[in-house]
Amino acid sequence: MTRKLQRTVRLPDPRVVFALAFVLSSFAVVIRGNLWLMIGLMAVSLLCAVCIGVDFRQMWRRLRRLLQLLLIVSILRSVFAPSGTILLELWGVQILTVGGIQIGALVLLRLGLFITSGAMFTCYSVRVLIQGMVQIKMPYELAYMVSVGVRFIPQLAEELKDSLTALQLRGVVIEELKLKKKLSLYTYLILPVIVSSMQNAKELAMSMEMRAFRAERNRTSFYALSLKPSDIVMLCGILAFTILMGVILIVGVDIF
Amino acid sequence: MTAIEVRNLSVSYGEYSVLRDFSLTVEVGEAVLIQGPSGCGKSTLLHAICGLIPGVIDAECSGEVLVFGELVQTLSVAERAKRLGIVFQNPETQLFCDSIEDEIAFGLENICTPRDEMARRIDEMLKLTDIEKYRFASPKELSGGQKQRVVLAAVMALDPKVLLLDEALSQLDRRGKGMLREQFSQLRSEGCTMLMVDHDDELVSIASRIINL
Repeated sequence: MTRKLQRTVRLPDPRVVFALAFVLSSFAVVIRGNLWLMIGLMAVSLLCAVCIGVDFRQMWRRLRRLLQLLLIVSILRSVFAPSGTILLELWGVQILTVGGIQIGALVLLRLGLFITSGAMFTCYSVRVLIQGMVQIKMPYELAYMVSVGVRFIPQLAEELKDSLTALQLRGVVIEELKLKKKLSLYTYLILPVIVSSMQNAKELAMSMEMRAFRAERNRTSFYALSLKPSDIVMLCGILAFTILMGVILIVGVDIF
Repeated sequence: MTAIEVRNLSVSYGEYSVLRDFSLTVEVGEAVLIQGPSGCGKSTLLHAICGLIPGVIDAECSGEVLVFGELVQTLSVAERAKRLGIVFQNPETQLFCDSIEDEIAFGLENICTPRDEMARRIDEMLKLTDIEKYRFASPKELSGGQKQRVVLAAVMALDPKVLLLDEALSQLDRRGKGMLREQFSQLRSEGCTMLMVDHDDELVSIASRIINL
């Protein structure tokens, strides 16, 4: 058995992670204006991600640019929504306010929660995730669609990279191009890359169909998931956490 | 007994006509090789035999394709998969699972094979294609020839009555071609009905009949 599968066996059942990600991201949407509650939720989310074994170093490498962008978005959000005590004012314009910073931090935490919830799935193989989806009664066609879609993104990126390399080999120095020319270059590149990806997707669909995909309403599964006692305990914990958060939000208990 | 019968098949993509009034008969146990230059309609013929044209592939089509006496278009997806297995050119677009085992199990799961039977078929296919040691490996870790053998194992797991090869060796290196040719020869010696298309002479030694398109 490979290392990857052995690791999968030690992980909680993917259905536990589905429940956890659903609860965390739902509360991330529902919570408004309560920064401390959002910070608490983020802490819980990070703790869960660490326990599941999310590789944060790899995540940082992959999402560094996106996180930088999110930080800029939240700073802008804080600048354009001033309220409360003014911390910095230039030429009569409120640049930084306590309320603005709170709003910016809330946006950042909300997006961070979505990313952390999604990151938990990276610990599982696609097959395990598909099986999890199928066993929570999601139609298997949809589960496979998700899995094929997930594969499609890196393939698209790979093809774009290849096309860029091909262009560079023909003497185009992309770094030296002006923004306008760079943008028009990308528009020329994107079309063939999309066409090629569509072709690959079509070939994949033909191969799947010839191997009887969607032949029957249901399908059997060689691999089956079963909830261990520890999974049931975790599901109970998630339920208790949901009730607690619900009470805090509905009753408005100010625990912080 | 006739495995495949193609009657006056014509296929065109818009104004571009690929096949005109083409007829072919493949008997059970035969290994027919169709040769011809690129663009002459070899792959189109196999797609039509599989029932992918018309339907999955947009093309205008006339004529009839019968598989074991029944029109291919009237066969259900499951029935078609049990009668016809096809290995396409590019292994990259035929493999989509995390492990070789999952890849072989995929088709069997689709036709609702019980788990014990599935386990038996997977073991059998891994042995047949000599990829037992890669059972839990990801297809990404394999060479082109090994990947194509995985595709063959996944296709053969459904125990198709006819094996179709659409330039199955064209994207492989010399070693990969050798490995796969050996596999096809073995299947041929076991009496497997085969219809192969290729633009060069790679599969001539396996064929019992050669048709030039």
